[in-house]
Amino acid sequence: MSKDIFVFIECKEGSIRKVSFELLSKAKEISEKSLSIVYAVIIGNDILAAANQLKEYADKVIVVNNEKLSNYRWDTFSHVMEQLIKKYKPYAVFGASTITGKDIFPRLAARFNGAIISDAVGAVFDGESIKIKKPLFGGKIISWVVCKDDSTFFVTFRPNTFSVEKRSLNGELIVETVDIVGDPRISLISTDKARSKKVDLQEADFIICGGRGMKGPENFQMLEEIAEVMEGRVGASRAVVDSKWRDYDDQIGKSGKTVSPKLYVGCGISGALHHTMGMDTSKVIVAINKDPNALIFQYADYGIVDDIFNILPVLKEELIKTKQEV
Amino acid sequence: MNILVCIKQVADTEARILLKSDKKSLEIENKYNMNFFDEFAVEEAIRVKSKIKDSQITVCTYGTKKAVEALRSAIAMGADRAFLLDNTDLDNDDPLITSKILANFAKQEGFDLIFCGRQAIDDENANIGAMIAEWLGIPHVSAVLKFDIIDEKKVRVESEIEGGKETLEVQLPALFTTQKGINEPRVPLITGVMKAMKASIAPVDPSTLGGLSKELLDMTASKISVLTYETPNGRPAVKIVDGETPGEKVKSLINILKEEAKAL
Amino acid sequence: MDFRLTEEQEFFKKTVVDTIDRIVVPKSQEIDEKDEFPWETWKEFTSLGYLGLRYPEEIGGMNADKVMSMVFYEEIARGSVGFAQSVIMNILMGTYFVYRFGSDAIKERCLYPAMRGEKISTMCFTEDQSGSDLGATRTTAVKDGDGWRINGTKMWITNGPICNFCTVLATSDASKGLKGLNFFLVEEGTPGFSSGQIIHKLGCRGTVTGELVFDNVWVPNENLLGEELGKGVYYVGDILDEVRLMTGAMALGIAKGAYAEALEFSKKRVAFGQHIGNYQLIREKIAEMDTLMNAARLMINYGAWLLENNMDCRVVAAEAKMYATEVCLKVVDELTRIYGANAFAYEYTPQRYFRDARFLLYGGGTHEVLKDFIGRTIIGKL
Repeated sequence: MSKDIFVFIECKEGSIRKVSFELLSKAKEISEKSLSIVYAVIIGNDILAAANQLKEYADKVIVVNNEKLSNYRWDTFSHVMEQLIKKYKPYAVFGASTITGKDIFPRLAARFNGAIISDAVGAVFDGESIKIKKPLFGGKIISWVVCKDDSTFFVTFRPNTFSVEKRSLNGELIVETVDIVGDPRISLISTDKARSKKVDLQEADFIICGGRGMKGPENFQMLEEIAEVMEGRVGASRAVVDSKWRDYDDQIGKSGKTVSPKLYVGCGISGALHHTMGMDTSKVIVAINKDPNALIFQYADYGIVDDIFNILPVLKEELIKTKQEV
Repeated sequence: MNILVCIKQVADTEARILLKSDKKSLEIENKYNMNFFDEFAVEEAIRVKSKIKDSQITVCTYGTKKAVEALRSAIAMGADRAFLLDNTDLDNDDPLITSKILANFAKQEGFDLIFCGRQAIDDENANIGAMIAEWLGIPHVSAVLKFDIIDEKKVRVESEIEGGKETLEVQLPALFTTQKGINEPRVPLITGVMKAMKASIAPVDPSTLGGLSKELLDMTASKISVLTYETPNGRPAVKIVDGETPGEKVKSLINILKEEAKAL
Repeated sequence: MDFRLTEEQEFFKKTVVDTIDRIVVPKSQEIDEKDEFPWETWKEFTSLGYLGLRYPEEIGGMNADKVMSMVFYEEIARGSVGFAQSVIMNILMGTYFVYRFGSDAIKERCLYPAMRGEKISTMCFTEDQSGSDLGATRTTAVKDGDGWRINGTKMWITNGPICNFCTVLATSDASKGLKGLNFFLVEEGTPGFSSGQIIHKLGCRGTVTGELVFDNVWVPNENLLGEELGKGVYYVGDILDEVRLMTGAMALGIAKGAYAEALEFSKKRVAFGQHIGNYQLIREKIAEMDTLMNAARLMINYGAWLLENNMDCRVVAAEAKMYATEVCLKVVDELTRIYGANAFAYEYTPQRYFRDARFLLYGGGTHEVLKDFIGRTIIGKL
């Protein structure tokens, strides 16, 4: 039985999101072992140029290009996906555990009465099936699960789970024309994309996170500057967001976002569990805190015990130098 | 208006979770709460009721008998009635099954508006809301940040999207999942606490709901099977960098990050 | 013997713990540091209705049983001892005699607003020369026309300087000693009634404690709270056991908070390459604290059960108060030992538990007096 994989592609401002390349890389690794093919499925408007970027990473690239699909909506996009899935009958549909993924995948899974495994952090093909690694209880427990049915199943993965592997496939571009029916009960009134310029918190490779130790919103300017040098993103603890120093969009933790950057730097973060469960899978964790007893040091790889206001300016200078060396 | 709120009782973030020796089951410390995001759902329902006077808020959960406590918390906040869909001897982990049972309950009860929390903090799935909406054939909006009722047939919501927010108008009946920031969940008054203490919440056997196949209501019904559980690898103890001055410490750190951690 | 709380009581406890965690705990350090009455936290918390805890539902209360009441006292003390004292004053001592003996007009003016947190109440016993020795009360009440004239100074009055009304213990006949004592209601604004010096306390900060001065204060007859003259001391008996158990419950709350800190610190602090929780002497401390707290809790629960079932608990209440206090003092001490030098810094919480716990030695009766009472009761008159 074929084990073809659909990868639902996400775009941001006309280019393909990094997480989609991550998923394609992993899907291709699996499909090579299972002797199946990977379809990159890209839906939108004016996306032919972006679709071309996908040819190197997938065996086939299915494109549905239509002005009705200019903006993501679950109703139109799931109608399109529904028809594609019925036609191509993939074994699995992969997507990202993003705002979009969390919106469309459950709707699709229900439509197909298919198993859905969300917010996964790993996948392994064992010769027979794809084993999915899924964290529970804020990462305290890791579960390995598998779909035991023949029907198409759906999986969403966290960004930054897989690495992007450059391949030189020559994917076949397939332009599909399908019906697109939206739900008339929903009307879009307006969109506010003020935040779209920022690197997505869950996709950032570098995050510098500020806690209550930052003492005030004005001090986050320094963190913004460092994030800019590193082409990363500023994060915030719950206390900071609750005090309205930063937006909820910046929040990392149990009631915010779970992140896994290559490098996480916590400044004035105490290390309370509801925060650490949102970042403790980061590849390298650095903590800066003047309290040597701070709980954050239990989760960090490296630490500086000092006043953040003494450290940050120097850190910025040194990081600028490092970047210039490269 | 008939408002339905679906909630989940979850283990407290501080609860100890132990792996049993067979690695296929977990022992969870007896510390449970109403799911964090569901508090916003209950609160929003109460706010809608304060605007549309002739409303009734029904809270339901698919859970064990222990979950009655979470239902009581919702009543204490201001919900009118509560139902426990008893999942003893049934699969309790598969969103496909959970959402179907909740959807069937909703259909049986009748509803104009359904609120769910954006996701459960124990699995971070964010599936149930959208799936219930699919089963019921109604529209849904995820991660709602602002909810305004225009009239009994239409609402205007602001929801979180990639890189920003969008404002939509949605015709009822519809389902909405609540995101943090939509409101401040209230702390219950003692009158609410007293009402909740006295409330009788009888467990409902899902097999009596109708519209659910026998196969679904079986312990083995799930299409997903758990192979094993494991605990994550711990990190080695933190290395505090050397240095007398901030400058030295930072230089030390950068060096380590470059050479040892290869993070720069 | 079923030691469990009922499902309803469990739910009540869970809700109270959560409410205190959300509203009081985040403010506790600030309340202690500022040492000012926390008006905002008072408004926020009292608007929930807990001040009516012990009073009947018909008048807006909760009709809580004694077990639930003890749970409440424990948890609010865990949150902030200073704040707890002000709250509990309105729940129990400051309003009880008004509830029991006040006319409808008095209840409208004083009791119901106090239950809503709109008015602050207190009870005045202690004087310069008389703490435990009520018979030595010097505040006098002399019949004057249709009322009484009160003269005296009261000390150590919780909420005193900010109260809207108080129940004052005064003697109408000093020659009769204890049998000459009565309770009078005095309201803010009454000529001659003023607050004096405020006491700066070692602990329980955030609650305002001080002197109340009664200088020829005249109150009408209806302000005599009681059915007969000279019965004051007997009326105190109504709530004395509960006050003692309540103090014991507060001790449990402070111990609970301190113990949680000690446990967390033992798990996170590293010394000589290991978490200190791995060392036997630390484990011994945790073991001792847990043992003592369990024993104290059983005594308080037993006392509450006796009280709830209208059984004689004078001795158990006194013993439970003493025992829970001694346990609490031990627990806060051990916390400071486990915590190391940081227990000596105002920045961290151990010092607050350490200071706050000392009030338990006086509230509800000094242990010297209690032990004498217990011994006397058991042995009888020889």
